[in-house]
Amino acid sequence: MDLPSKQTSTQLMDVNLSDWLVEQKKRLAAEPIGGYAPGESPMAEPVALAAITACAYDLSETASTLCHYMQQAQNRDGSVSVGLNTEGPFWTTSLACIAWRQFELHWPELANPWCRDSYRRGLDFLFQIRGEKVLGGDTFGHDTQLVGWPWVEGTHSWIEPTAMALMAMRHCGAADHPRAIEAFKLLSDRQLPTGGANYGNTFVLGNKLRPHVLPSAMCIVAVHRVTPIPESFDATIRYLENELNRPMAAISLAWTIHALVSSRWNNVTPFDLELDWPLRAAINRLRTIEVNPYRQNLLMLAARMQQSPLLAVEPDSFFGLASGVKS
Amino acid sequence: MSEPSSNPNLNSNQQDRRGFLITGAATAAVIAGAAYWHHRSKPNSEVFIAKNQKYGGELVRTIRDGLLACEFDPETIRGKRVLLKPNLVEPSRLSPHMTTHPTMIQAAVEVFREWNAEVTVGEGPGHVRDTEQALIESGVMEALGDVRMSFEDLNYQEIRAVKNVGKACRLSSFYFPRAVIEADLVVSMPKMKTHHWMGMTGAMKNMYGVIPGIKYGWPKNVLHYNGIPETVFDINASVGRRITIVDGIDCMEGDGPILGTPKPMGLVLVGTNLTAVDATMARLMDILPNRIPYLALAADRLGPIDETRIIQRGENWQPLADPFMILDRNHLRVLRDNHSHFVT
Repeated sequence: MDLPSKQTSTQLMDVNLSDWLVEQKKRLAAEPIGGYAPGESPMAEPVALAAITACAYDLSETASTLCHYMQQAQNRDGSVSVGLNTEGPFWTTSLACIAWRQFELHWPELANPWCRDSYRRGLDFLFQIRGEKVLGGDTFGHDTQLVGWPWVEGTHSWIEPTAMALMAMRHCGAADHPRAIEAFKLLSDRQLPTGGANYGNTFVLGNKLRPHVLPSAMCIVAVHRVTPIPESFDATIRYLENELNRPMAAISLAWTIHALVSSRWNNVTPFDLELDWPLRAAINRLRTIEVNPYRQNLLMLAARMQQSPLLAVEPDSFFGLASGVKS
Repeated sequence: MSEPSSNPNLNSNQQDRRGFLITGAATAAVIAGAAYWHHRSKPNSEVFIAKNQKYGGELVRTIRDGLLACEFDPETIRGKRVLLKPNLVEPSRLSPHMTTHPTMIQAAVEVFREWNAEVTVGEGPGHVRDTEQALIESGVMEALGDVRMSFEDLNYQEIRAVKNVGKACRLSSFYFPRAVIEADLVVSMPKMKTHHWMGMTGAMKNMYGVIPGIKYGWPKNVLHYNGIPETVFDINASVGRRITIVDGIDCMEGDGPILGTPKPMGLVLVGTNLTAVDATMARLMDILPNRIPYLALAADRLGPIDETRIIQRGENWQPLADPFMILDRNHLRVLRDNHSHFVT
């Protein structure tokens, strides 16, 4: 990653979002499969997010290529490895399921029946994966007995893989599964009292941890259109609104935009947040660093706002399952 | 974890270009293990301490003098790959004393460039999945941009398994990123801090950051489940040649490594043996080195912790020692005998 000096940052012309999106659609269609950085091997997360982005921009052939690529990499047990090979970890299975489901929704005639088979097998795998419980006592502030998803099998449950799994279940029609309900409880339990979410803990050895943008935003996206929602998530939305005033990296910003769009989903009043400026700032910064299709795709998705496939879920209700639920 | 296989998705041109995945695992294991056996055969190590240091001061000269005082030979890295590995575990604008200061990194870049090494900076932040955000938050993005230095994201790079040479934990191998495997020298650049599980964190614990999050998670929970002291020891035994430059200027005490309070010390520590430097750092913090679990494991295997076998360069540690506040918890009360400077 080449990093920008102050000089190069100020020399670069401000991007025109419409022109940038036209360029990016061409780039995505021309070279859809990739890794986390240019020239690196294809990896499941960038490939899945590219597929979802292709759905967002009506690029059926591109989405088909990407979804087929993941299908070929899917393991016999339904899992999809981070490296798109047989080795773990497998937290990326959730993202692959969302991509397959979105492809099926956008182009059912192209997706039938292989996409449904792929995401159903993916969900079956996810249902079997459980984070390890640990002894709580006064060491940790969160409920260590709630089971979500770990990054790696045999370890504790963490926010981001749990949020991704909950998203996958809700996208793929398994919102009423007991594991989805427990995931919702876990995410509710791990919100910090003053808003936001740490990467996984709330308190350790009696001290409150700091919130982080990315896991906070992923929590909000995971509970998109869930009603009623625990009040703790409101504080997390306020935290994200505040963070939007500061420089934010591409990935964090993309998820934050999704979260803030979600937070105003049913508003009848005009959208009150300026999202165009932070989006252009992140694009400008990225242009000075490197060509990075993974990050560019996420920003493309964010630019779709309400039309992003990541937000294309039905309303769900987990009423009374978490403390602090608003009536 | 399973043993590795080469990645079928990489084409032959990419493999040839990098010379990475085609290198045999056996070669990597030999390179990695070399440091282990070298340290076993070298009974004494030099540790350099500089006092009255400031981030706006002459850090380039301090680092250069320190390395030379520790008998580091610049000729050994001429034209070779040097990877600087700062601590960016969870950068926060609210806590600049948590992470390696950007000017320390800039100064080290300048030193190794002057010695004609091929320098890069890399880190796999332990608690932050969005590395770009960690670079922004820490100020390291701007600092590296200003010295035209690229950054290696160790969390997401291509990886390969290297044999666990230390064998203190159950893992038979570690997955290391390309930049770590290809480096001829890894420079651990930690922040001098307390640690609420281990007591302190320094050069050796900072090497957790060479382990890729993509394989081990955020946090790198696989390592925790296999024992923190054991995996710290094993990672250090399995990485190739290492030295350390410690940011001991604005330090952290209390609930480190994330939530502690600032502790100004004005020190820079340099050494070619990470165990010896960490033992000296512990003494400066008024912590008994042999009570730090990973130092107890490393003693006489990766380097000396006994004071009589550490050759002091620059300042002596004794007049500079200043007790760091430590959390008053059962597992930390053993770190010093006098039961003072504990905090709730």
